[in-house]
Amino acid sequence: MLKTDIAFKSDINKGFLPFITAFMVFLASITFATAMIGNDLTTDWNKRMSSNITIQVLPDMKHKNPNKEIEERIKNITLILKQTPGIKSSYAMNIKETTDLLKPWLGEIGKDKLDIPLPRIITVEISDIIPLNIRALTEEIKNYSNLITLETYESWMNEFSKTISALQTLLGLIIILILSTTAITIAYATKSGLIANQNVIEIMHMVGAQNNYISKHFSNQMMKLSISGGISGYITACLTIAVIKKFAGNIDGGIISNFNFSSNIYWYILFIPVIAGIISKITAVLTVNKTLNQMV
Amino acid sequence: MNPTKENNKTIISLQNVGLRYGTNAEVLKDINLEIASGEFYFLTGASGAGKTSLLNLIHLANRPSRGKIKIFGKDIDYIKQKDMANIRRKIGIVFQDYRLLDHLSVLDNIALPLRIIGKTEKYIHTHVPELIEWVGLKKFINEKPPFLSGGQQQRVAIARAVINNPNILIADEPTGNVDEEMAKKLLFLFLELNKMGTTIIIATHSKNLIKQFKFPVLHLENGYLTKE
Repeated sequence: MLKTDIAFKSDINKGFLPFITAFMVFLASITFATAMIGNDLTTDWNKRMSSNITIQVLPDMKHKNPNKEIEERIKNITLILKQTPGIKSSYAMNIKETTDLLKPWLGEIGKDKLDIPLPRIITVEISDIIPLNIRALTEEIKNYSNLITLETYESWMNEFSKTISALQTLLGLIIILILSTTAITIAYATKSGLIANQNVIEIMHMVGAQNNYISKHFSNQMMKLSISGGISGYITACLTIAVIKKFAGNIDGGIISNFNFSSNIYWYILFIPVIAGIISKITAVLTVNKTLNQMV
Repeated sequence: MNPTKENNKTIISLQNVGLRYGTNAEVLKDINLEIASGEFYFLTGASGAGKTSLLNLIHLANRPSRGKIKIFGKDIDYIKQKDMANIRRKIGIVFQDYRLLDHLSVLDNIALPLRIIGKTEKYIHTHVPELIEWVGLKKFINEKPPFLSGGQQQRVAIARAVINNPNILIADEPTGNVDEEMAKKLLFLFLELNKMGTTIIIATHSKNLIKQFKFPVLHLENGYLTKE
């Protein structure tokens, strides 16, 4: 115990304030971590989606031999892709892979029916180094054949990003709500602490203490209690995140293909107990000053 | 902060002061009092005569219902909160009920006025124990008030009031709970402070003290103050 704090009864709020701050910091940290994980996932998906494009080649049903014709166009389009700067590689799915892909809708396609004209897919991997002019490529493909379309996932990713952004805004509002509730709780705890210390404050006034002296020391005591609670809340949140990370790490496949979010998250959420400490200090100073002015 | 001896300079002035609590009758009526720096007064009166109320007005714990009070030449009606604290630092007060902080040790209670004015821990741990020894509480330096007798608590309250060498020392029955020998010893402490320039007002019922130390007496009766 520091000598500057000795004037106040330290048992006031000793249990309540650290507990409530720990709980609020825990909630805010988990909420913030969720928002960050959402951000990491969006970035990861965005990166993966933007490094791939898909070209769909439709059969020309007016042609007398659509299957032969489509093979010809796939060959030509592959050649165009090879000559286009910014494309790392391309792969045209063969007829077997295409029928496998359509199996859920068309069922098993027997060898006798393999001559049915089917649309074909070319997957294209974009270079990380050389930039690709997607607009020029789209134009070139369109000029070559109007039965070929290029899918960049851009509109899908835009919708997805909007959803994630909305979710993050909501989580941000929840954090603000939690921190506001913390501030209100601290204000009430400070007020009750002051009432319990009224005799002490009167004596301090009598021996010449100014309001700002009382306010400084009382709010420091409240801040220390809040920070001790905040650290407990932070540690609990880190442990919870670590457990989630361990179990979620086993999730592999589907939309969440990579749940190994960055370990920096533990550093980022460290700002929450710091903010809780600052909020407690400011709230306590304001509450103490207001209450002291009413006392004198 | 040694009080400077400025004899004949009025440092406490009450003009036509009246005090009432709520809508009750006045407990202090038409008080006129001028006390100069370095003076020593006893304040007497029956229980309930208003001695504590008068002392509370002087150390700015209460404001009068009417009249004017000037402390160190400053009209208290126009004193800001910050200046009020600075004035209180120059006034040592011994409360009748001691008003010690139960959760602090004897040393920390006495050191409170020094910590408030920002004295270093080195200074505190040099000067406070000396005074504690002088008032005979060396053995109890780390004890907390609830574990002390009434007389011991009274001595802690006196030590807290004088630790800062105040310009004015107000004591409400400071020897009420100590034996005659300790009462004399404490009075000699007050005398020493008075010689250094501290203005002293002691509320007491003890006729022995008044006889032994021949200082002027302020007497309160039915709310009116007379000087003897």
